[in-house]
Amino acid sequence: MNVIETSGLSKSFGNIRSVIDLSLAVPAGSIYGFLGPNGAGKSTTIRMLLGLVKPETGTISILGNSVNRLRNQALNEVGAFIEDPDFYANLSARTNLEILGRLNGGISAERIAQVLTTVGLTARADDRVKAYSRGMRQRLGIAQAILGQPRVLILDEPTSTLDPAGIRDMRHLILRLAREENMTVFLSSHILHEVEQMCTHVAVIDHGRLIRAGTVAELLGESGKIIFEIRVRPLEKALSIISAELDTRPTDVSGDSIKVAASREAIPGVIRRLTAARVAVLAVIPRTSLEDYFLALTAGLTE
Amino acid sequence: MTALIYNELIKAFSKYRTYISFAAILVLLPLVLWGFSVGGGHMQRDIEQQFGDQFLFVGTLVNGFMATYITMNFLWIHIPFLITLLAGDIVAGEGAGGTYRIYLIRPVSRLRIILAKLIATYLYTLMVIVFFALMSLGLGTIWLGQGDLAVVHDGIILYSAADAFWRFLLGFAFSFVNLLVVASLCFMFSALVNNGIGPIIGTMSIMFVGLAITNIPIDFFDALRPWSFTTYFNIWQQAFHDPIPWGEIISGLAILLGHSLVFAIIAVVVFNRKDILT
Repeated sequence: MNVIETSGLSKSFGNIRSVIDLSLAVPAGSIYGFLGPNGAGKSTTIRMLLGLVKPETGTISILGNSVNRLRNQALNEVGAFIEDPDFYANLSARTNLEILGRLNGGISAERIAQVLTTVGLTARADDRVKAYSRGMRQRLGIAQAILGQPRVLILDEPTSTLDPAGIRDMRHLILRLAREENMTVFLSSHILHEVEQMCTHVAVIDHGRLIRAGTVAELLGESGKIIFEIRVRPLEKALSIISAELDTRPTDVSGDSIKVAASREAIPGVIRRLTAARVAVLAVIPRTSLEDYFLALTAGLTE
Repeated sequence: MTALIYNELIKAFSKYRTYISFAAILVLLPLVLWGFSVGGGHMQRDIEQQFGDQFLFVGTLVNGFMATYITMNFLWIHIPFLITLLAGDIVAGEGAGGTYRIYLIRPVSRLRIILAKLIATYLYTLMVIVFFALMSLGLGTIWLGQGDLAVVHDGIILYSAADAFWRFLLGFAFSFVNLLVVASLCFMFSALVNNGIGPIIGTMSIMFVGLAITNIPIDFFDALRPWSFTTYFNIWQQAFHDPIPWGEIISGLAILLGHSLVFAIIAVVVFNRKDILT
């Protein structure tokens, strides 16, 4: 079952076509990464999912309810935040959540305390939000998103303003929510390493159009070649053997490490050639990342 | 709906600008009343010199009712601007502040949210006029006492304290309708833009043009005058006419409420169709 479905979604601002004929299907229980370079149309798509921006054409359904026609029902079990969320700065985090809770039909004080604990803001819950750091606001953003115990969580750049420790905490929090609260998570991010660690599915859009969509494993295996890191001694001798055997140049060389693009089938032959030439093979590590894939895809290099 | 209106009032009263109207009235009216208490003797003597051959004065005409009446006369153009502080910000301010991104993604229709904002704006308007009444009529009668009220309209009319009191209540009610038009106009501008200053400037500009049409005696403006809502801004004064011209008042109030309704409908339609990009 798909929790979120869009079909033929399009939106223009003036002469700029922000989203073009976008069709997505987000399976229940997935953590769905929505990737694209700046200006690709990610935020516009998310705003359309949440009813903030009205699509020109196309349909959106969330949990089987049309956002266009039954917006309130569609958003009833959705929690979300969009890019560096802003709050009522003169009010405390608790009062902010009380205000937002009233829009969800009334949220108990216990539930508010619970979400504040979940995001680690209990100690500062009664401070005015204007005294919060950006990281704290980001966590409060998650708190308001999960306030109504949604089945679907839509997050636009949830880690964009966080420091490394904050990014790690946010990743753990999202994974915990997905597992323990059985939420389907749809998130956009620029931090591809994070997406790779979190997501089960990925869609890539560029210039408003969907380029690829599928499971992370499917997409990474798609090009046939992946990046291998081969650690060898001596390096110079190994370099010439690898370049000759694979008929390609390494993507990176440093210390005793050579990174090279190759198919999985080619690697045993390379190792045989290296050992035959008395080159010590210390390790062979597959290093292909979503980032490599994404950069190749959006630069038009794949295929 | 009550919860949504409550939300709007909490948000509004978390901002300092919301209190400026009350602070202005709190400072201004006691100053005016103090002026009456200090200079009241001169004023009484002037009135006695001018009308002493026609009236026999017993006691003083300089009382809380006279102070309130005079204050209302020179503040009825300025008080509307105090209303714009909230009306201009209540829709646009959230756009500028980016809070619609957390507020409008919840299972509540935009129609209910904009209506809650409109009602909160009207409640604020009511609070301002009630506070003005308390600070002028309430404090004035405590400070300067009660007595007859002299009103100049086709001659001099003297109202007893009891008569004056309910006419003031009527006058404040009519003033509230005046202020609703200004609040609705500013609210409409607030729905059109994403900053809190534009609606105030827009409303002030319309007010200036309207007041020019109303008050400048040029033939060309005669045709425009019935269509400008500012023409009916002095409707509160008709509560002090004798007899009260109910026909004129009702048609004036209907025109003012009609303007309010049109401005409010435009605001609702614009807000419902608006893409939230901030």
